[in-house]
Amino acid sequence: MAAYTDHYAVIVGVQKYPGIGDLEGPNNDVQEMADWLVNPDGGNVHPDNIKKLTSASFPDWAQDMQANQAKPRRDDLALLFEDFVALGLENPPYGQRLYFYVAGHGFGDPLDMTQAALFAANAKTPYSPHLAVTAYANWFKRNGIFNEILLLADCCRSVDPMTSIIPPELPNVSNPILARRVKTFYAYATNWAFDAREKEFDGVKKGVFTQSLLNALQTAEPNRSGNITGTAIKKHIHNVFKTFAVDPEDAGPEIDADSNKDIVVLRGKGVVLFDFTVNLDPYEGGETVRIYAGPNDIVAEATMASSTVTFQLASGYYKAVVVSTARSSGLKEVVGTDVEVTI
Amino acid sequence: MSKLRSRSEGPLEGEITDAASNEISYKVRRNEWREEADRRPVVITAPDVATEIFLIDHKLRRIAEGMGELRAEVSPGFYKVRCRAGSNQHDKMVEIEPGFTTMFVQTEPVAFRSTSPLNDTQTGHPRHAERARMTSQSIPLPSSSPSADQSRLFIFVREAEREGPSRPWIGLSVHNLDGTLLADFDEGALYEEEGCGALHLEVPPGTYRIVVQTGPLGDYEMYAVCCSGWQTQVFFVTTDFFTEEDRVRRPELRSASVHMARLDVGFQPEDRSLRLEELARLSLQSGRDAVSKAETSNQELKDLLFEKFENPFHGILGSHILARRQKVDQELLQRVVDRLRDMVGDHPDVMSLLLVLDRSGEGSQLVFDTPPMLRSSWDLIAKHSLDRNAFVPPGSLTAEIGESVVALGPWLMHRLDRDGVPVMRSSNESAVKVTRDEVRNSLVDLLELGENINLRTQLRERIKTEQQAFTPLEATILKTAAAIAAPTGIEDINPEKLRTKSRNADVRRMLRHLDAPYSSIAASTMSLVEKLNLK
Repeated sequence: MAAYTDHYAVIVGVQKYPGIGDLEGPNNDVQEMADWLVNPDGGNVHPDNIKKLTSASFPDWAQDMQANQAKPRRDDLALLFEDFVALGLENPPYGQRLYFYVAGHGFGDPLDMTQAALFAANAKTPYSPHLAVTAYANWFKRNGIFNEILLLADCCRSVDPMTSIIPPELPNVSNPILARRVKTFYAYATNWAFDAREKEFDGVKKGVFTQSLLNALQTAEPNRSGNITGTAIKKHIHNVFKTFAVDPEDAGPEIDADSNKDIVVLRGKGVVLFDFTVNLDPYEGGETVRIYAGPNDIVAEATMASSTVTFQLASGYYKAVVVSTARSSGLKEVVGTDVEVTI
Repeated sequence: MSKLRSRSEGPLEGEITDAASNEISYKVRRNEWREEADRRPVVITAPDVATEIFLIDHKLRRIAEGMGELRAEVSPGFYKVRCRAGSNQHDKMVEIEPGFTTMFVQTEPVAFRSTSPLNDTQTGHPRHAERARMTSQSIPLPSSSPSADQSRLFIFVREAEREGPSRPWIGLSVHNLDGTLLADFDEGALYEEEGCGALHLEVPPGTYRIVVQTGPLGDYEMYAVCCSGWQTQVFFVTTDFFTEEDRVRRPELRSASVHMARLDVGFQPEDRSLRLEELARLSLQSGRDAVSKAETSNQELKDLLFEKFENPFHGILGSHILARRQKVDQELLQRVVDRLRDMVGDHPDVMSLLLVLDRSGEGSQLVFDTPPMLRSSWDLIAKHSLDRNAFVPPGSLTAEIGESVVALGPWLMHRLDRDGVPVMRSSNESAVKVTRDEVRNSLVDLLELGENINLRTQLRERIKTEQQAFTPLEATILKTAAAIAAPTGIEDINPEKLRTKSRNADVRRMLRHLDAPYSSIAASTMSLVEKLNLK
């Protein structure tokens, strides 16, 4: 299928923060997000429509430097939206969909629990240049610049009473008729006043939220029409988050997906199957292993020719049982990742 | 983990041989019909009433939720029970078998992060819990102004995240309403090796200011109200505050826990009802008002918060949850307020609730010259003062702090003047008296200023670069004036229409938006007019 030419993406990753402490994940997160966006099985966005800006976009970014030398700054970030603002206001809508993804240090507004902002690279206490991400997304919505807006923010929303989010310098106009039609999906790595986390995945630092998000975009279950909606993505992230989280008991992201105006994020998608591997120990040969999806709901059965068998299962809850014995795996959750059990 | 996986048309069906030569027979599930046809009751119970419970089916759909207890009718199948307390959660898989009458499921406690060292919490170190119990039951430092009515203030601060010796009480002090020092922690019971300290004071009933100094980041305060016959307990944990060059670790006001206990009872870390208080506070702090959402279906929770509370702080939190609702149950709220007044008298967080009750009665006679503890009380006072500014007398402490209130729930917090010393006036004699017409006209001047796009841009730049030039309330007034005065829709761009817009309506919008008592707004507006040379 040809890439979407009316879908756009702004993806920002700020990793270098001399004034408030460097991160290690945003460059990787942005690259993975960009890969998914251009992939025909993913966002399928035309590469020309993707505006990508990271710390690594600037020469010598990895060198030691003062906070005031670090980039991107607020103005660099604001420039990413210039066309959308100028041309979009002239002739809305500018496009069908905007993906607006950010990764880096962020904060929440002490006065407004719905807002989030990304610190620019030259931030340092108490000077805090930033990109008001929610305010930008809301402005695009208010003016009907895009019909669908996906705001994906992998940054902290911790609150400092001294630091308020300053709204972007955009024309104070709105277009209520177009705005009414806009569908939104806002996903934040964390709730207001909480921190987002990054950790090593296969030896590489990445954002926990971004990994959960990408897992959902790639493996969330479609509805009967083969569509994957915003609420399905939200549901999947909340179920899969603990497998990625630094602490499995972290409450996880805040996602605002309006079920009345649900975005179809991906169309014509099939089910993703995961490996459910059962190892028998002891293995005597010839045992029958059954996979249940409910007390009387058998989904698969294998007669064991070796001590290990791998079933291919869709997301759900399962139990592996060795027939005619009391041996069972107990209930296992298969959501977004492969599972291996020994019984 | 994020490598793209291939999607198939659906679950596998038929005979397939896997890589290890096992013959696997797949059967496509067609069990949807049974979900409607064969339902049975299930009762899921959490160890305490303040735990949220969610039931999630095999399609990952949330099919039921409850608080403390969840009752639902479900088909036999595999389910996930998710329990959440504060910002923590854990999951439990359950198998609902066919043929049962009612299935009962009991979940484990969720160890959430608590500021007070309660049992069964993630941060409830036993050493801290015992120190808090012991010191809260110790003989308090005597009051310098003995009173026939006895009340006590107990403050406990600890390092909850790091092991080893520390002095978490640094920067913390207690002040009288007029700003004079009441006590600092050097006078308290200090346990540097264990990273905790306590200050236990006998005080006349009234409101006290708890101040934390964070060096270059400024000084902040919250308020503790002490009532006759009760001990007010305030707990803090430390956190990092970052400065340009360094970081300082100080007690954090916004995550404070407040409890109340009868004199000599002290802090009881095993008290399950205190867990509820903590969860209610965390709900309010994170904006996740779980208690409010589920209390209607849970009689035990309802009793604890509204009907049969023995601890006034339960009732205070419960009544503020009631008062936040779109449609307030006036009868129930009146009962709770009456009971609270019998227990703690004219506590400002109780008196503020009278503003929600029938205002033709006592509410209209109230005066709030001392600040409440709760941010929600502050919001009520600010809102109602727009109609009757005598609620908050000009020059009172409540009016003074209105210029720099920090909007972080659930406690009312105030940023002190930059010299770091609590400064206030003990009377309202020095307050500037202005008429409502003067304030209204000045706000109109500011709105007209906001209409000019060039001036608006200049002002925005000035607020950004000259942070010292304006108080937070002044900056908010300017921003609000600019937002309200500027065109808000395509149809408003017509200048003719702009001119005919009702200024009175704009002024009312501004006042409603500012979230500060009228007298504070009046003082800041007049000060702005001077600073901007609008006269």
